[in-house]
Amino acid sequence: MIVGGSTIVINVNGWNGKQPVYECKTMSAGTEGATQSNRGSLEKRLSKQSLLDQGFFWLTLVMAIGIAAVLAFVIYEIGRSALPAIQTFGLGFLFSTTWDPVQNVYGALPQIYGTLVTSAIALFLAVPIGVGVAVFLTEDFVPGYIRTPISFAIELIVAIPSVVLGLWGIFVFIPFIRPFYQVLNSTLGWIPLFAGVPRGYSLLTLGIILAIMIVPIIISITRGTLLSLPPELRQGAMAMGATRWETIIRVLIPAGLSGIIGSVMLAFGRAMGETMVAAMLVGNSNRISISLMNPGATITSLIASQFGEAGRTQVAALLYSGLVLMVLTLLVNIFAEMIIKKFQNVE
Amino acid sequence: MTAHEPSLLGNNLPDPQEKRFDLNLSGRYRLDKIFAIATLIATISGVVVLLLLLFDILSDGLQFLNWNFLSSYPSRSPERAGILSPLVGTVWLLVLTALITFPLGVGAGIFLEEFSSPDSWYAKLVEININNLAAVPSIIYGLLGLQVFVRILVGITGGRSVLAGALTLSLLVLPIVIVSTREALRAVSSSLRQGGLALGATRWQVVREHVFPLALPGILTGMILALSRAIGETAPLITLGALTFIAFLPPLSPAGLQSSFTALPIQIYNWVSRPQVDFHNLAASGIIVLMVVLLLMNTTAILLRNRFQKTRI
Repeated sequence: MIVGGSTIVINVNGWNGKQPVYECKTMSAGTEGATQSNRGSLEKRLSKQSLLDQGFFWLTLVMAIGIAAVLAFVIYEIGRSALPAIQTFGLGFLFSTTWDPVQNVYGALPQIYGTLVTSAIALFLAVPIGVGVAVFLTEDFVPGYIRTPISFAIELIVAIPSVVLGLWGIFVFIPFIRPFYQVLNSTLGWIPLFAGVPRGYSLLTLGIILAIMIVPIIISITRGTLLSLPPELRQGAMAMGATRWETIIRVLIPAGLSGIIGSVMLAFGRAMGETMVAAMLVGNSNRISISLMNPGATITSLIASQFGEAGRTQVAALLYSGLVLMVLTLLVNIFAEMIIKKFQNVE
Repeated sequence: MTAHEPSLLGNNLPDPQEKRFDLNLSGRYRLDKIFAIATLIATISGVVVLLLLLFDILSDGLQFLNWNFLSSYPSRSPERAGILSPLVGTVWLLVLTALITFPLGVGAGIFLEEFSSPDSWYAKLVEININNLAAVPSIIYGLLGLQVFVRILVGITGGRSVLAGALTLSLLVLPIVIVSTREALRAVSSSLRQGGLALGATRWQVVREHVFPLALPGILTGMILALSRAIGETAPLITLGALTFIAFLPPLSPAGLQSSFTALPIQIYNWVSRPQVDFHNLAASGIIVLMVVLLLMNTTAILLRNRFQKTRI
């Protein structure tokens, strides 16, 4: 793009054949050019500069490739450490519900279930709020002097460490929400999702706190997308007599869908990988319960709570579950990127 | 019969049109109002959550917050406990992480944005990898850090040391630094590059003299945000095995790199998991210190970014 464009410019102005080099291949061609002897000192300086240039190119290339190699290395290293567990339990690990350090028999189905369910609850709560706030902050509902502090405050939520949110969940949120759980349980108890004895440390609690954590991500990306839409869309819809709501729902949100879906998927990945909040709030109970008001476990809470005092096979099993989590988040992330790319192409 | 036809047309045709239009309009305006109120409620609920959180922590933690708290070591008795060693540990981690990530992250960002053509296969590969690296859960980095930095590289890092912690956190925040560097570089207008190159400057000169200085505020913003993420991270340090009772400070020498450490979030987590209420209040005080540091960093970053965005246009 930029680089390609400037190549042409330089070729036109190439006064002594000493053009900046864009590909490593053309470097040797560049050093041949100058012939005049009275340019000797300049020549020397230029060759030094071009050496610096090349050196810098290779230095940054090595850095970029090195960092890219880290991902492959992470997968390799975790996979290698998990190998004993993979060999022993195979794919059955994903479908077994036993986690028994005494007998050394492990299966992670309850944790995988808990991870997916809590992230789903978080998304269910965070997407409407996040998109709503993003719309509110972009569509001139209130004057700027109110909008700026609000968006400032919301961006600061991102800065809150997860351990702080976890604490807040334990000491403030759970006592606060318990009566509501009771009411929900007594009125909607006939739905399996709200059945059983309601507990503070539960899948639902974790889902709500995770929602608070991921709302800022959804807001900031959705807001960026809505701001980048061409103003003609808004003006056109308004000129056709659409109300603001219709403009937003029928025109702006469909036009910005790629960014919104992308932000939702990224938030999903983030919710699945969150550790401290999960370990502090989910209740760490190794079972699958349909009711959201019962305690459960997530992969991250399993690793955080057991890694410290685990034996050899148990560590391998924990790493295996870590590998499963990583594959899940990578799949979600790749899926998000594909969606964004696809919609961008359509536009 | 024929006489009825025009009257039928005349009476009926305009009518349904008018009706359709009228009926919808008030309903549509009502929907509009409802929608405006709904988004307002969503926004307010976000702000209220933040305020509640801050208020609750302040009311619990302010009683313990004094100079003694900042200048004494963790202790078994709540009255004498302080956060000196976790605070110093956090500063160590912060400085080391910044030293590691700045050259690596900015270098990689410059390569991807300035030197590689976006269509080359290696640029694509690197880009895909970095995007996915950003999505890897932090606890996985903790597991990796334990295997690699603590066990395999024990000769360099000295085991569960502050260096191993900083390396792990660096891995965690590198993708953030790279992405923000690229965005900052992309915001520099391309006519600057073309002008520099047209005058015969090499790419290195163009980047060093023109592009990089202009992109620096954006790059710094990204750095600050990345570091504030690193301060708050607990999970990787817990799997790494950071200790909680440290009654000494790492010496300010290369040997200090290999000493064991603790950090603010870990100390807070440890205090919370104790049964005594006093320790919970201590945790709240620790959180105030952590949050003050974090909010200052983030405010700086946001202000820097807003200013940068204004001057850019």
